[in-house]
Parts: sequence; structure tokens; C-alpha cells
Amino acid sequence: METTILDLPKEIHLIIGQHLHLKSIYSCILVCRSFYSAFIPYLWSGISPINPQDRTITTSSTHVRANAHHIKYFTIFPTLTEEFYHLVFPRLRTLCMRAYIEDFGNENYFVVKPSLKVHFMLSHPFVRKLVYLHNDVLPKEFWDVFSGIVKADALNAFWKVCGQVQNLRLMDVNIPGSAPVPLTLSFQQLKSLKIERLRSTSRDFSYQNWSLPLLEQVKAAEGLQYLKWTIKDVPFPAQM
Amino acid sequence: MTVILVSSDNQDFKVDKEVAERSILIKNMLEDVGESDSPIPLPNVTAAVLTKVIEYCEHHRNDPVQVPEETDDPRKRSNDIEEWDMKFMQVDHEIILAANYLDIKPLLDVGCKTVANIIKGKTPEEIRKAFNIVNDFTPEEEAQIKKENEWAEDR
Repeated sequence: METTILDLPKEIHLIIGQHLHLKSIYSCILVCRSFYSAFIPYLWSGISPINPQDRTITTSSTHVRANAHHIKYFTIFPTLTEEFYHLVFPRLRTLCMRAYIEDFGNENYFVVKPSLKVHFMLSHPFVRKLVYLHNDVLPKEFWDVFSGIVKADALNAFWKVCGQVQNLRLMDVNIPGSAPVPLTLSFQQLKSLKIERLRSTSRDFSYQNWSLPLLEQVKAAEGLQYLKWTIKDVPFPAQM
Repeated sequence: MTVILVSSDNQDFKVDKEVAERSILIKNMLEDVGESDSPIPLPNVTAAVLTKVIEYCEHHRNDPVQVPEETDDPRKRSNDIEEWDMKFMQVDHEIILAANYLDIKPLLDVGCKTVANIIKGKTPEEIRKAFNIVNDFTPEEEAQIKKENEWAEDR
């Protein structure tokens, strides 16, 4: 019996897919049923329903819902409409809320309320990486759900709401070397603090310079009941 | 130092250890058995495919990194291009399977790239022709798939 392309296992179709543009993968899913099931997860795994060039919506929420289980990386542009925030993607790992500088002046953009973003995050507590480049400040409920890797702008958004946060959890957080802890934070409501496995992609990053100023400010939290501190090379300060 | 590889159809291949160890599967097997000259059975690889794989490993015995293109021996080409294309593709898929089984990543990548290059720029009908595949969709299914995924058509 001849071995044909249809006999190749799924993981090999995935490697083939890595060498193809979306346009070619689109052709593949129309070839036959076997190709369809091999390539459709790849086509949808990193979808954005917005065309990054003109920010128009390229596919309806019904179609996105039909393929929601394939989506691992979802990009939200500021023109994305409400109905998309009500969808659930069971395999979502990376959430990218993207925006370009020219988007910020457009009053038709960013029409979705932050509470909808919270709603979206509540349905996706398994998201491990957040890239947040929208300019609205996320409510604290958002941060109560999320724990994972954050990119710089999201961390800044977090600092803005930290005064109302009861549980601060910095776990596997990827901190850019250029983002020092702001010196005017407040943690009045803070009840529990967990700092675990901080990381940075920058070589200039210093655990000392980053976590000690943070702890210094946390001292003001009178209601603090729980503290977890697991950072290598930075012992828990004795004076606390 | 040489090792003996045995294909699924019971043919013995005497290969330099260094060459055989391009396959991570064989490398691990050799490490497990230690100093021994007993032949290594490869029940998932036929002699025809193993010949090709060894040819590849011989050629790449010294490169530390991935090589973009696989060399194909021009002597093996027949005059009839069509027939040769089909034959080669048949062997090609078996080589991809063997590379996957033997854990030879550069060869697996080359194989997958070759297939991807065939797919690139083709319409669904042209892909079916290239791989000898029958369209088993109903017209309704085809229309539905187009509708759901048309966003990807010109990305």
C-alpha cells in the first residue's frame, strides 16, 4: 500500500503548516475532509477577527464561536465589538489586547467598557499570558482572576488599580527591565500578597531593585494577613 | 566503529556509528545497550526508505546545524517526469514518517518543507492533483467551510 500525504500523523501536518501562510492553509482545508481536520486547528489557533490594516471585522462572532475550541492566541483590537467578549475559548492561553498609537485618538475605537474585559477574563482564568496595549485601566476584578505573564503596559495598568486590590499575586510575571516600581503606590486594601518566580527578559533587571521597593510600599498595608515570598537571591527582609 | 541496522524487510545495513547517531532514536538505543555489536532492528522502516535515510545522514554527517535542502540523486530519475514525481512523493512521505520515527529533526523539517513548497500558491483543486486526493466534501459542506473561513483567504 502506498503511503500518501493523508497517512502522515497530525503532528507532521502541524510542522507542514508552520511553513505555510494562512492563505495556503485556507486552500488546504478545502482539499478534503482529512486535510480539513488536520489544518483547521492551525488556521484558527492564533486568530484575530479584525483586519490589522483597516481594523474592520473580518469574520462574524458566529463563525468564531463555531471554531472557538481551536483558539489558543486571541488578538483583540480596539474596534472589536461587544458580542466577541461574550465568547468562551476553552484553549486560550495568550490574550493580546493590541492597539496602535493612531488608534488612541479615534473616538469610534475603545467602545467596549472595561467591565466587559473583566467578564471576558472571568470566563478565561486559564490565560497564562497577557499583552495589554489598550489605554483604559483595568478594574481590580480583572487582576483578581489573572495570573500569568504580563507585558509592560498591563503591569502599568495594574499599578493604577492596586489601591483597590485585595489580593496581589505576581506569579511568573515577566517584568521588563525598563519598568521600575512606581514610588507612589498604595496598597490600603491589601490582604494577601504572593510574589513568586519573577522574571525579566532584560539583563539590567535586578530582583533587589524591583522587589524591595515594592515590599517597602506594601508595609503600609495594615490589613495584610498573608504573605508569600519566593524569589531566589532576595531573602525576605528581616525588618518586616 | 560501525553498527548494523536491520530494516523491516530484514536487510542489514552496515553504517558508521557517527552516521547512525544522526537519529536520536538510534543514539539513545546505543547508549542504552552500551558496548555491544548486536544489530539494531528498525521494524518501522523498509530497506528502500532506510537507504534514502542513510544517504541523507551520510551526506550530513558533519553538519552541526540544519541544512535547508535535501540532495536527491539525479541517477535515480527516470525519463518520465510525471511518474518520477509520483514515485518520489511516495518515497518522500515514507521518509517523513521514518524521520519522525527515527527522530532525525533536520530530515523531518526538510521533508515537511518540501511538502509545504508543493502546497504553496496552489488552489484546493491543484493540491488535490498534486497529491492524488479525491474531494470528499458535499457542495454544501464546501460552501459552509468557505463562509466560515473566508477571512483567511487573503491574509
